[in-house]
Amino acid sequence: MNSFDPRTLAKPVYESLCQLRAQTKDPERLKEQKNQAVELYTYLSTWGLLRLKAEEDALSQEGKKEVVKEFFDCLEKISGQNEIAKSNGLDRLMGLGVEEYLGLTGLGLALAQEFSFWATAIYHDVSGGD
Amino acid sequence: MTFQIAYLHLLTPLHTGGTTQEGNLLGIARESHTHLPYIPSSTIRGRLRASVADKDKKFELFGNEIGEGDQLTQGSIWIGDGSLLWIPVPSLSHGVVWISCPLLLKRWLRLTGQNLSVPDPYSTSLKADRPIYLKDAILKEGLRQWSEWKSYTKDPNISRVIVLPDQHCATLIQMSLWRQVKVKLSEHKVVEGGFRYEEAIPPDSLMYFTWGVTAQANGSSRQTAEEFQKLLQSNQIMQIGGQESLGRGFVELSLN
Repeated sequence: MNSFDPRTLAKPVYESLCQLRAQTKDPERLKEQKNQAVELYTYLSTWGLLRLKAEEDALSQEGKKEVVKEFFDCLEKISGQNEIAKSNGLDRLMGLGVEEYLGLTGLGLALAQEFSFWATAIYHDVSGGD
Repeated sequence: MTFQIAYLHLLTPLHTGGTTQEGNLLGIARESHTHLPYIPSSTIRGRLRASVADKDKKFELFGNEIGEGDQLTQGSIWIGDGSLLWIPVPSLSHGVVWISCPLLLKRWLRLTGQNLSVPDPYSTSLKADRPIYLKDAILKEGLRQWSEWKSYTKDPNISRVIVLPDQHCATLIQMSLWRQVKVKLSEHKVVEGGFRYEEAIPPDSLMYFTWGVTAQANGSSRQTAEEFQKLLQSNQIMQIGGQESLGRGFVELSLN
């Protein structure tokens, strides 16, 4: 039987950001990561999932790109929607039914809020991102 | 228990004071069970209370304050939270279209005690055989002509409406909130730090709140209700919520 786990959304986000931060030494890149993590929610609620996925390729700053990749990794893990984190994820999102896409957007918004929260905690000593 | 209703027509963006400030986003108050934006009753109550100059009348309607009298007393009026009824979303085909959903309309019908049916999703005042372009989506099929829509809007300015399924409406509301990006510039006009964002309920939304008379007014409830109605009528335009100095939160009050 499944138990209710209030950490379902927080856990993968916390682990992703911790790992990303631990791998990064460049302070500028850390700043970019933090900025992107806190801005995910406003980007997503204004522009939607498709455009965020497209940003993953378009972003020139590596730090920002890494966070968007982590976001889609977490979304794939939690939703069980295979392959949205891969490079062909955009096609996968295009192929979803309307209900599925809207449901995934709702989940994505909740997840983006988690990124915002954990970024503030995990990158607490990185300035310029809040 | 009878609920009295007062409507709030938003003239400017309304910032209802966030319960959270995550990252660089100044969010707004949301209902915990639907996550939809709302106006906490204390916001409306506080504003109306502040507009009563006469101390006795103020205490009679809203109760006294700490430090005034021996103990706190209850007022003779209660005020409920402000709920969304219709919210505008951008439309390429119609400029602006107001959306609502069965959940919000059902709530409103229950509280107003009206004997109207809850419209089906995709009921619209627009032509049902022509596509409707909403933000990011084109609705072509399954639209239903809705002739009784005027009984549900309570605002002559709202003429283009569509009822969306609950889950789609919630997502669209989330994505149609008024959002402002803010930056801080240094003395050399260079952006300092990152962007900041503020959310608000967009202007032209229609909201409402319930109010009534408490047990405190036992025996004089009619007089109390009239008194409060007069107070509402004398505050036709009021400013509620946050960011007053930026001109946010102007609402037009009406009783029907």
